[in-house]
Amino acid sequence: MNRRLFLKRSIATTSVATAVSVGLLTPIKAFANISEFKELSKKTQQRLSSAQEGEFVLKAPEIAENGAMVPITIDASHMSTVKNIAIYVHNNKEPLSAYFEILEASAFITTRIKMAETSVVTAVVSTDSGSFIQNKTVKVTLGGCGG
Amino acid sequence: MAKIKLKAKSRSGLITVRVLIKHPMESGNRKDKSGKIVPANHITHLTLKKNNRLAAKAMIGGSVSENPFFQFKIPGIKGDEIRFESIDNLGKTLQISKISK
Repeated sequence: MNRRLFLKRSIATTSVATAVSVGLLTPIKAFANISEFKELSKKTQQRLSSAQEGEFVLKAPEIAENGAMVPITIDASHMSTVKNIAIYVHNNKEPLSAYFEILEASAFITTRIKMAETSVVTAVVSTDSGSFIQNKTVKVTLGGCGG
Repeated sequence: MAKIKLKAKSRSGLITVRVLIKHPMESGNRKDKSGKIVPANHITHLTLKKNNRLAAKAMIGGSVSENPFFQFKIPGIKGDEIRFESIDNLGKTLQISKISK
């Protein structure tokens, strides 16, 4: 690493740490966000068991060479009254990757996620008439979540 | 340097919005070379607005890639204002707004 960048970064991280310890930054809010997300992850997991297979498109690579960047596309734009879309990776430490709430948008999402190892990726689309899922196994040759 | 990039292009009544954010997206599970856990630093919330009306919201975890990329589709026409905002778990916000092409 470039020395100047290293110094800059180390100063930045220490200043954040001091800010937290002094109480300038409120970590409470940050923790609330994380627990909220964990709750959401549990809810999604519960929904998985009752969901039926739906007719929408989940695009994911069969083999991902790099687990740090796996492109996922979910296209449910022909389904009506889509409320939310979730991406759930079963073998990740934090299985819920992303949760999108669709308000005035088309039900089409593309993003890139990290995967620790080979796993089943499930897309959950919930509509007014229930939850629908699509599964796809993605083989990962190099993990991206570390650990 | 811009930390966030947005492109919005309309085509037959649908605006394709592409967003690229520069962010480390540290999940809080990874260890560095000395074995210490790298503290979590990732985006938690995203909001996408069209003409000041909420179009989509998202909650994302640490398992979204570094420098995350998102693509959305919103019904709309050329000239609509697209605004995108993100908040990370340290409370830092990034935002950008653009007129759709």
